[in-house]
Amino acid sequence: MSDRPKVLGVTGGAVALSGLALALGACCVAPWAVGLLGVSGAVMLARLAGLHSPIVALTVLLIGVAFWYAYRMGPTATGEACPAEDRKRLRITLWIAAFFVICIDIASYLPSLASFW
Amino acid sequence: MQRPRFLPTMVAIMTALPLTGCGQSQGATIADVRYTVLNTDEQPLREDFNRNRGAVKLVFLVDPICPGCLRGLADMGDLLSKLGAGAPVKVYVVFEPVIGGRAKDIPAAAALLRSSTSRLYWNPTGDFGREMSHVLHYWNGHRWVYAWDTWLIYRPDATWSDATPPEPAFLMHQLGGLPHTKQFPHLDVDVFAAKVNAMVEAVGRRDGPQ
Repeated sequence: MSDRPKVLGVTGGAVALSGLALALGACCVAPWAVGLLGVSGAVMLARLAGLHSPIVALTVLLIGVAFWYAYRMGPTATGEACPAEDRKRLRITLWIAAFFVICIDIASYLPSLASFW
Repeated sequence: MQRPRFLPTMVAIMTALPLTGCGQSQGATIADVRYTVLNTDEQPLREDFNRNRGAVKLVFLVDPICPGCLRGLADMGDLLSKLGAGAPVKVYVVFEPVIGGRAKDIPAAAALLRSSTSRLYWNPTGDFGREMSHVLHYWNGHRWVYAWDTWLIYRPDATWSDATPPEPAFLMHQLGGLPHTKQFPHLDVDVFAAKVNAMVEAVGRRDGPQ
């Protein structure tokens, strides 16, 4: 069985979660939240802000899982290794996604760091 | 082949989150909300503050579109509803334009308090927050931190006699710019409610049957 769907699924989950982490990290100083979500939605977003760091940790974990899937040396159902070209493209995609996830995760902490200085 | 379930789940969460804000019209209460504008001085707030001697005073400094402030207001609404309408507590909410809040945003934010007796103020210049920064000693070691997302409790005998407001008996905040120390504790509604309840009970014992 190909690992491609697993890698893409886990990576997609990490990207989506990092977007949520960014929203939570910026929520308490974000003027857009009320306009976009309404007062009740903004309150709910603020209530979820405590999950910011666990979600960031989860994105890193998911990226790690994706790398494990992408780089593990597993035989296929026929007993042969995956075609090299297929894995190469998948790994490039994963590296790009990992870069974005890490950048978004770091960016999610900037509002709280900036407010101190 | 079993497909990973992370992506659909996350997409569902990201889609559902904005929907929670849909249809949350505050129209029923918006028309009733009145606020006082604080311009060059805080005289209206000072008069109201001094008029209510004998009551525990809660002063909230918030931006009307700051999600953290709105969550705080919602939590304070729960606290006030548990206290009941007859409790000797007066609430003063000063709205400040810190992240772009405007006067038109006040009614929806004030509705979270679910208290018709709260006094609302709008300080368009933002001077009140700068003044309160010094009153509350909001110095983080690098700069004075503007006072907003701040929740204050004043004792019943507190009087505003100087040019600036008096120091509160207790404060909490949700500011990233301030350390969360014993001097500047982060807002914990349970702790805040316990302080308010203790003061209200003290007022009740003092004013109770002799």
